[in-house]
Amino acid sequence: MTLKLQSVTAGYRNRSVFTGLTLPEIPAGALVAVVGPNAVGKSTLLKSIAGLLPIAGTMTFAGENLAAMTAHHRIRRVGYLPQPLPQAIPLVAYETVFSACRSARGDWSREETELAIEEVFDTLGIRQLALRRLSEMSGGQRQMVGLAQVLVRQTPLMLLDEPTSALDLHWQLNVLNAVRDATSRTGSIALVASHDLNLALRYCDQVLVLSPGGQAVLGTPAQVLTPELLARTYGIEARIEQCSRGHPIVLADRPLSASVN
Amino acid sequence: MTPVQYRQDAGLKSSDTRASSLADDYRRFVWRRVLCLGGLTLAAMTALLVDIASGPSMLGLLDVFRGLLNPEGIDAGTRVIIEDIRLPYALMAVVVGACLGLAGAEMQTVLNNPLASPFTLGVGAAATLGASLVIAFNISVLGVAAHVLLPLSAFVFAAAASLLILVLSRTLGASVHAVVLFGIALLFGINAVVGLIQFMADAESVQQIVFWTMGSLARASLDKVAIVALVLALCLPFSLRNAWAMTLLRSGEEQARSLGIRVERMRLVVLMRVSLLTAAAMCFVGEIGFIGLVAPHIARLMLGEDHRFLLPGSALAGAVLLSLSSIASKLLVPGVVLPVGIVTALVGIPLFITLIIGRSRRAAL
Repeated sequence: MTLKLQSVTAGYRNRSVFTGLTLPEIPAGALVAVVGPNAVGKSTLLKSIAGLLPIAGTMTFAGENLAAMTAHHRIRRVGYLPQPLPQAIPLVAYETVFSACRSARGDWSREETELAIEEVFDTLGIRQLALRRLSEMSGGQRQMVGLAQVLVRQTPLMLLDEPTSALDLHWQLNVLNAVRDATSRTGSIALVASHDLNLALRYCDQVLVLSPGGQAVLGTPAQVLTPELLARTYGIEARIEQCSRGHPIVLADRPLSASVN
Repeated sequence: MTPVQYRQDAGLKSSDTRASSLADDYRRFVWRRVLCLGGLTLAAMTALLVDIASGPSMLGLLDVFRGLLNPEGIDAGTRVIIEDIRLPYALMAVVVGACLGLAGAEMQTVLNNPLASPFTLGVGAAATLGASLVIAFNISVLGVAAHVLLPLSAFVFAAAASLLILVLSRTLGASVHAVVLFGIALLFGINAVVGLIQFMADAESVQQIVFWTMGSLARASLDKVAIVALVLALCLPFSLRNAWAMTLLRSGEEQARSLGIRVERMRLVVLMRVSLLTAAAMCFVGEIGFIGLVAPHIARLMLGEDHRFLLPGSALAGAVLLSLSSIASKLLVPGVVLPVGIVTALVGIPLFITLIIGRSRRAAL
C-alpha cells in the first residue's frame, strides 16, 4: 500500500500551483510532513490527492489510480482534514463525527459506527466534548472535532492540512501521537501539511519540502532539513541543533532577504 | 484489503460496554429532540384548533372538535363557519407556514447564510411581480380567468427568478456570496418594476396589488390547501433524504466535498425545491416574508443543526408561527381580520426573543 505521484500538475482555474511534480514512492505506515513557505502549494497538493481539484498526471494509491476512483470508493480510502475549522454552529461533536461516518462508511453497522466513534473520542481525549455544540467550543476544540471526523473513518490514506494550527502544545503532541499511532498500527499513510518544522522533525518519518518555483524534495528529516535547504526554501539563516535529549531542532536565526516569498 | 478488514486490523480495543456509553448518552440527547419535535407538533395542532375557534364569532374548542370529528352533531350555522370558512383558512396557515419554514431552512443551509430566506433571492418579489402584472393590466391568456391566472403567474415568475439565479450562478461559477448578492440585486430590481406598475395602474389595481403584498389567508379554499399540501408532501421526503449531507455541509463545505457530497449539484436541486415551495405557498396567499427567515432560527435554537430534526422542526415552527399570526390577525382589532402578512412579524419577534433569552439563560447556568 504505497502512494505514488508522477508528473502531477494541479492548480485553480487557469493558474497552476505546481507543474510536473514527481515524488519517490511513499511506503505504507509513513507519516510525512509537507512543509514549505506560504502559497507554495501544500494545501493544493493535499486537495488534489483528496480529489477536490482536477489534476494532470498520475496519482496511484495501493495500485489504484486516485483520479479515476469514484467518489464512493475514494471516501473509504482517503480521509481529508481541510484547513478551515468546522463552523461554530449548534451541532454537537458526536453528531458531527456521526454524520461523517454515515456519509463515508455506509457499510458499517450501527454498532461498528458507535464503536469507532467511541474509540476516536477516547484516542483524541475529547470524550467530554461529545455532547457539546460546536458553537460553544474554542477554535482548538473544533479542530479536534474536525480531526475526529477524519480519524473515525480509519482510511488507509490521511491528508491533514495544518491539523495543529489552532492547538496548544499539549493538544499538538496529543494529535501527532494519535496520528503516529494510527499509521504505525494500521500501516496507513498520513500526509500532514504544517509550518512547524520541529514537530515534523520529531514525529515524521519523511519530510516533503515544497519550494517556490515548483521544486520538491522528499526524504528523512535528517536528510532534508538542512541549513542550505532552509535558506533556499524559506530565505532564512537557520541551524539544526541537538536538544539535551538528543533530538534535532530547527533554530531560525534571521531572514536572509526581505524580498523572499 | 477491504475497508471493514482494515478497521478490524486497526485493533479496536474498546469493549462493548465502553462503546455503549457515549452512544447511550447521544441516544438520550436525541430522545430529548424527538420530544421537542413532538412538542412542536402539538403546538401546531393546538394553534390550528384555536385558529379555527377564533374569529368574529368565537367558538368553543369543544365545538371545533365536534365539528371536525362529527359534523352532523353540531348546528348548521357552526358547521358552515367551521367547514367553509375557518377550516380552509386555518389549514392554509399551517401548510403555507410549513412550506416557508422548510424553504427557509434549506436555503440558509445551502447558501450558508443566516439571513437567507425565499425573499432574499427575490423569489418572493418575483411572485409579486407576476401577480401585479395580472392585476394591473387585467391580462388574460387563452381565455383563462384572472383568478386562475393570478396564482399561475405568481408561480411562473417565482420559478423564473429562481431559474435565472441558478443559470447565472452556474454559468458564471459564482460563489455563494455572489448568489446572495445577485438575489438582493434582483429583489431591488423587481421591487422597482412593481413600483412602476403601481405608478401606471389605476387606483383599484393599486389597492389590489398592495393587498396582495400584505399577504392574506382570506382567499383560501380546501382545493388550494390541497395543492400547497401536495407540493409540501412531495418536497419534504426529498429534503429529508438530504439531511445528513446538509448537516455535513453546515459543519464545513470542504469537509463535505471530501466526503463525496456534490455541493454544487445539491445547491442547485435545493434552490429549485425552495422556489417550488415558495411559489406554491405564495401564489394563493400573497407575500408573507417573515416566516422563511425566522422559523429556521427558532427550530435551530430548539433542535440544533442536525437536519434530521432541523428540517421538519423548521416546517413545524413555520406552521405554528403562521397559525399564531392568523389567530392574532383576527383578534388584534375586534371585528376586523387584518392581512396576516402584516401580523407575522408582530407575533414572531416576541417568540423569537423569548427563545433567545431562554437559551442564553440556560447557557449561563
